[in-house]
Amino acid sequence: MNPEDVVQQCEWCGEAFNVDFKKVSGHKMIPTKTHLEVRSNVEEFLRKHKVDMKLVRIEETKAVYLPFWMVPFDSYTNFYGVQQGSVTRYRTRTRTVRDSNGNTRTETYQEAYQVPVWRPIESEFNRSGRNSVIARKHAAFYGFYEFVHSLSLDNLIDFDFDLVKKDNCEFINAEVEEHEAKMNTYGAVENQNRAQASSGLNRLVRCDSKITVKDPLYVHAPLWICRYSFNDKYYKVSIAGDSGTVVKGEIPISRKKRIINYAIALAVLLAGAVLGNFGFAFAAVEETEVWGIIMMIVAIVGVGLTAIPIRLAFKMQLEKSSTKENRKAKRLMIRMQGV
Amino acid sequence: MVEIVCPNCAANLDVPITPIHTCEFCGTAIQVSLMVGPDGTSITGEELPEETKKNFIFNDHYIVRSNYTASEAQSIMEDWVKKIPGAPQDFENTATITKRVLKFYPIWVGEYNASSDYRGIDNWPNFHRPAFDRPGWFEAVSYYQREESGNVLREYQIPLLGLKSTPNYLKNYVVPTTGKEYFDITHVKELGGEIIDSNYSSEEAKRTMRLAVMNRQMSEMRKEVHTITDRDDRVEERDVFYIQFPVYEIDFTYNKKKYQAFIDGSTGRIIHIDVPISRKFKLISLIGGLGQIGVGIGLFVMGILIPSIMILGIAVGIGLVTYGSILLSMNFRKGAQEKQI
Repeated sequence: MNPEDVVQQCEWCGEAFNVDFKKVSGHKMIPTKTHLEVRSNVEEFLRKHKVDMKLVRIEETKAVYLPFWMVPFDSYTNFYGVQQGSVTRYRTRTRTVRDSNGNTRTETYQEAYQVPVWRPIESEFNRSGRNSVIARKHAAFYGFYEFVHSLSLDNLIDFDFDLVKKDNCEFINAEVEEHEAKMNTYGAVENQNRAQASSGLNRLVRCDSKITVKDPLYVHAPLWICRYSFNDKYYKVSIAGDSGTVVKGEIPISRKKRIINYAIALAVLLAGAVLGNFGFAFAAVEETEVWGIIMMIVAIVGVGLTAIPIRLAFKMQLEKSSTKENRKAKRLMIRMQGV
Repeated sequence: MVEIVCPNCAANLDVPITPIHTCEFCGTAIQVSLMVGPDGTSITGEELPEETKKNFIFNDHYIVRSNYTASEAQSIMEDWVKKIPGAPQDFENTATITKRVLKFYPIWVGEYNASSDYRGIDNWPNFHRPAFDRPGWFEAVSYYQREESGNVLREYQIPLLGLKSTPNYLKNYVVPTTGKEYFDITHVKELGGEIIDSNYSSEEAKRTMRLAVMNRQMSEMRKEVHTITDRDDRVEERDVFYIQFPVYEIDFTYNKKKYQAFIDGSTGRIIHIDVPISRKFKLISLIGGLGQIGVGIGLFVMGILIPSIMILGIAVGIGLVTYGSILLSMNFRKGAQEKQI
């Protein structure tokens, strides 16, 4: 038993005990996909990112069961702040215009302008949920944040040590006590509520949260790390064991890809500059002024976008994470719940 | 140097006057500063009572084991360096390893509960001139100062590297202390490691970490008030650990230049590496970079001189100079590190 382990698992019967030898009740786990499913998902992930599979060799896939405290909470927040907006107003102006014959005349027109305005916002909201606290201190696992975001409690089952042994998974005991997990959640929820209150405000003046932290659930969740080689260079991928999906992964950039990206950047730069040149000429003539301005804007945007392929051409490797996909899925879920 | 007797194994030790020294025989963390008088002479010996001897030992002394041998760490570095653009692909054959040292660096980790009541001043808004075309909104807002009070309740784990002058490569590194075990000198000896002792005494470390807790509490209070006028802090120190963590320091030469690499011995992660650039890449980047800069400048000048291709010349000119500069700058890359999470 390590001195840091405040919750210890019996290797024989699978029961969890704290440092006072009291049984930790309701110990759950999220079962993992099999080694083969994980491996196949990694290959699919690499194929999706157009990695030449002929040069890929999967060197190692191993799983580790990480301990978490899932802490349920209820909170009530009231806040007071200042919101800034703007109103569009119009004023009458005069200007001198020249027609195609070279004659000038003066005309009046309405010019729009923006006026900043402020208003006090006093509001409240209730927020309930569950905060996942990793029960290890100073833990640094590749893809850890993405893994925590992807955690779902839908597949929870009672803890079964045989399932851990089945795939030779590494097992880690908790180093963080239940009380610490609750305190950690208290601070995190308060900060999240403050962030939610201040969103859309120019200035948050006062924010008070009443937080009730409930008894947490002790859960072990599987994270897989896969190491593969590509052209004799090594890369790693993290996979959430419950879904078997890749949460974060390094993707090699081959020399061919670098050259293609560089060529794309040069081509877009040249095309943008030609377009900009025409646009500049068009903008000088009154009839084609608008088209000229549009062409120049498109050219500037195009030239600016060359930063993307240029960056890819010089990067050490690519890194793809599931955070964006998770956010998209969450937004979709919220929308569906709303419906 | 001062002569002391290890309060645990009674070995005679000749040690520098540092706050903490790890006994090379039994691995006990000896609080040397408590054992040395103001005149620099040792005030302890074997004849001291057991109770007094215990006070000279810092008990919560841990180690994070190195999971890699020196040659494994070197192999990790060789594999990793090849991924860096411009680095030599035949690194293991062309670079010469001149030194491989495993150092166990000291880190203090304190765990604290903190509760702070505070009073302070904050800016509150006063709204003026209602907007005639947007009900409920105002055209002006000014702020006045108002007193507020509240409570901040937090729990902290504060890491403090035990060296007063922190090596640059460790400044932003989050030391993973997961997997710490009671200190075991045999593990250090087996791997031929070197123990780096803390420059902080336990009291100094606790003071510094407590100060960090107070500062973090202050930053929480500052979210509500801009000036704190009164505060009452109750900081409870739950645990303080003294941990040694493993770092491989590898020196190598490439093209007659000296480089260094630092690898976390527990995770095999590259903390920092000076990046060697291959001759082939230097040549290609020099020709390509300077060529693009030259063409870019030429086009830029043409754009200025010939009005009909002004935008074309200037835009492509600036673009090529930028691309060329990026290519050239890769020769001056200082270092690289592996992502932690």
